[in-house]
Amino acid sequence: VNSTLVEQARAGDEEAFASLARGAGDRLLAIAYRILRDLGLAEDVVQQTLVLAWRELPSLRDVDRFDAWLHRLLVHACYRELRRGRPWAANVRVLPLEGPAAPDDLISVVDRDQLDRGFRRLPPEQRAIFVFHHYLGLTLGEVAEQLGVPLGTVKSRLHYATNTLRAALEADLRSPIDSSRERLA
Amino acid sequence: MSTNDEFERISSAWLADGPTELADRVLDAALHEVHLTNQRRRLALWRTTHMSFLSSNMARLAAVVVVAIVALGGAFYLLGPNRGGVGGPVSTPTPTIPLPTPSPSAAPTPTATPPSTVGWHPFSSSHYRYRIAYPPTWAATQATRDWAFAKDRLALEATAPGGAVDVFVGGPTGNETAVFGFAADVPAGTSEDAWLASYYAGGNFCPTIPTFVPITVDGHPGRLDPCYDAQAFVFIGNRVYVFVIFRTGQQPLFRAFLSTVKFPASPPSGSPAPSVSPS
Repeated sequence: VNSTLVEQARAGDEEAFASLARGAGDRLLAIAYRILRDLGLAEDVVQQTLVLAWRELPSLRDVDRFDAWLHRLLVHACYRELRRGRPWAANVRVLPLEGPAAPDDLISVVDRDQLDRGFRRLPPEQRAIFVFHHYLGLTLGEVAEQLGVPLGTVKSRLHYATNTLRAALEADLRSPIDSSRERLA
Repeated sequence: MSTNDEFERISSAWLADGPTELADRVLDAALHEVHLTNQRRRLALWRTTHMSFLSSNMARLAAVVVVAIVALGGAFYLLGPNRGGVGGPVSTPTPTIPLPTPSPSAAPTPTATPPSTVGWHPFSSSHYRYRIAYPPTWAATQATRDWAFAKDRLALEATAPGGAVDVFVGGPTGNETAVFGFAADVPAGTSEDAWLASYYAGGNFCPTIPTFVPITVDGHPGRLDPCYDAQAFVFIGNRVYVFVIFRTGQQPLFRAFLSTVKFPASPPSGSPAPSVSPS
């Protein structure tokens, strides 16, 4: 990240902040969507995060840590959105209208659905760590630093998240659909 | 799942699938809101950079003026129109010091003036025994079980209807605002600061413990967390009452809610003591 831009934005330069926001927007959306699994919510969260970042930027001491700081704001906004949405959100999710085959050969529609279901059962903190590690490709130490939680906590949360998702996929292997598929084959 | 590699392959492919570009309208909306939002300047910074320019007498005079303004404002607020309430006499509704100006947002009530609570519906928490009022178009749901520190602090389930918090929901469909209320016992020997530190540990709402704003709720001193949305904490005896609003920029509405709160005369102490260890 351009430290000069961060310093200028921290001093109240809106144009500098706009440049930073444009540079970070895509990444923030990608992360937020993968934690929330809802594009509308992800867009709301990114907007909230950018406004909050602008407001709180004077409190950022180390401009070189702007990206990590922004990620942390985003993740906490995701946590709040997940908690806020739960009480009255309809427990109905619209599944993507996909054909019988996945967009690529890497993952089946059934696997995708099972992962979706499993992921929605994860607490927000486990979701974030899973995304930061597997999507952003950060090491566990880097995840701990970016999210501001102890390394041991990162490890345990990732462990639980992984187990939950693996269980979701393994449940798929035992599902009637799968059995039917095997019989048909 | 046969191997770790297989799981890694499937989960990575699943994560890779999805949007990766922020729509221009979202970025534009954010930057428009940024344009309307003042950056927060830390008080400490302000003091170090500006107070040295004031003589001690000037500082005292400024302090007197501020106190007078606050007192006049408070008197106007308390004695002004629309001070009727629900569920008995309305308690002192305003913080003991001025709240920071809420940041403008898409929230429907950007004004700093708390809305009137006249006509609000009374609500008596059957579980936590406080009383509050909520707007007539909102829906209220009673908590059905104790809020437990270790179990509910970071759990979504606590906020589900019939969970561990009283829930008030209203506003436009799809853009609702929610207010939660609950209470918990504070273990003997645990200070307010220690309880709050545990409450915020691990990332509850704010990245760090926020700078609290002193408030008064039903005559009791409390603390307002203005970070993001807003939370209010009122410690009474060995009990802490917590109110949360989930909508940025809605502090005036939140203060209106708080202005209707009446706490029980003698807080119950039957709830299990929470662990103060961060989970």
